[in-house]
Amino acid sequence: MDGVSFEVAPGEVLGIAGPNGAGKSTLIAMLLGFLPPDQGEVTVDGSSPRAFVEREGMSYLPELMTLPLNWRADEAIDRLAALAGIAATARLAARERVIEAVGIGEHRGKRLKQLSKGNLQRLGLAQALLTERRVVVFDEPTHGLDPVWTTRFRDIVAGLRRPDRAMVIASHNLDELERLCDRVAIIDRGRIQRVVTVRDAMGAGTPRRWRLRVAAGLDALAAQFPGATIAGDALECLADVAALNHGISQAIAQGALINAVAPSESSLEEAFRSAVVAR
Amino acid sequence: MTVSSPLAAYARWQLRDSLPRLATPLVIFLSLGLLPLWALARQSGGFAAMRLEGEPQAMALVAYHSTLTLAMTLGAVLLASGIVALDRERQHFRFLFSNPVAPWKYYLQRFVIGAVMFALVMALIPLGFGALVAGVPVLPVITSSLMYALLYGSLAMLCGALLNKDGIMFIGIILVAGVLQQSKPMLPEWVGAVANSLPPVNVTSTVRAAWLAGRAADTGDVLLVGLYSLAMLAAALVLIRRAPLAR
Repeated sequence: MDGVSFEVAPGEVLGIAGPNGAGKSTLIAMLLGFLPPDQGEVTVDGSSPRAFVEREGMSYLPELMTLPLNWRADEAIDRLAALAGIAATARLAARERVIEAVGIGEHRGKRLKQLSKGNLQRLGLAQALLTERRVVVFDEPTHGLDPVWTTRFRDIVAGLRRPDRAMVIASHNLDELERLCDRVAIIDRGRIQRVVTVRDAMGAGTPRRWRLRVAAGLDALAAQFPGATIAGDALECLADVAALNHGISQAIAQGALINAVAPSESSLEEAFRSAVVAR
Repeated sequence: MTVSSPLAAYARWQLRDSLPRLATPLVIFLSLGLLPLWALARQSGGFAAMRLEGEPQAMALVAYHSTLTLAMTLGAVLLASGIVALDRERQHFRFLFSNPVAPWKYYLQRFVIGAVMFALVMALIPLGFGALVAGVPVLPVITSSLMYALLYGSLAMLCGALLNKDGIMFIGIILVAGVLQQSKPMLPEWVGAVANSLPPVNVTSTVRAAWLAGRAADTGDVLLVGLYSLAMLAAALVLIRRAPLAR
């Protein structure tokens, strides 16, 4: 990492996006105090990350499940619940709650080596849900999850938002980050290339690229969007929401029939492309 | 949600993790010591005959002492080796130490649990021998085992705090120290000085031999082993506290 500087406020969800080897996992290791910076400072609530973790702990889901493979799934949860400081009387209930939340009840008695990649990842999520921490850090959280559980995971994470909780999610999946985060830091080659405020970027006033498919009246539609590109029955243009609606209504008035309107790529994808791919 | 001391709560799991390693000295004693004892018992008319003082019992005591020493040494070596480095190398630390736990306290607790349990397991050997053949003192076995666990355990922890592939360094230091310290009188002075700076493997054997023979060990020797071990343990804990967990 080089020259990296950012803050995450309580109540905020910050995403970290970047290609392989960009430095996402190194950044997360620093946030947890597993790796100190050569220069500069990382602080969590005014303390060094290690001091913060040793005082309060963080909810952390690493990219890979690296627990001993001879542990049973329920044993792993029991052990980590004990280390999390959950009292013996509350541990059983906590274990059942998280096992149910991630749907691995039928696998509870299995050794970790017997679990599929997706079930291991769900177990990792379960242990991260054991406690109500003020800081939550997820590294590639949907790695290995099937589409159903990817969606469920997003719902679970969305439910973790709290005014006093700061969350950091590193992922390759830009769509996931765009749905879950307030801001996304795009890193590459150890540097933050850009921080995209997702909500603003998705606001109506920001021009973005749209793809429209028409059943008839392609010329009428093209006339409303100078500079648009046409391929077959589809037109791609750059416009903010107001200009898009105005152009569409004008084209319809002139006899155009429109089948579909959709963003041709997300604003985060655009930002990612310009920050990383073009380099 | 009520909160308990995470480390205290985790002690039972650390005890469980130690069990396979704690079985080592018993397995060594049973596999290497029981066969000669059984053969002796057959020759001398059974274990009842060996309970009477005489040559069979003396031979049984020789077999007991040599096997006990081997079990104690190998058991202590295997007890602590690789624990710190393995957690780091296999990335277990990511789950363990995102919890409100100081790594150095975690490993200190594991060290203490392992050492105490090792001494208690080693006590089963003189108790078993006493039941079969002849009464032998138990307390010297416990104190000797604690001394071995302290010396080898703290050396293993120091090696693990320094390196990922710590096993070769750990075994290498023990072997080199043992050989050099045993042959010190025959070596040049500077090699003797090097031997003296290494962990006191030879002095530990001397203390153990005295205690098991029912004699008092030299106080200086006991202090040397104790202080050297504690210094290594302290250095290991400082390293664990300060060095990056992710390497």
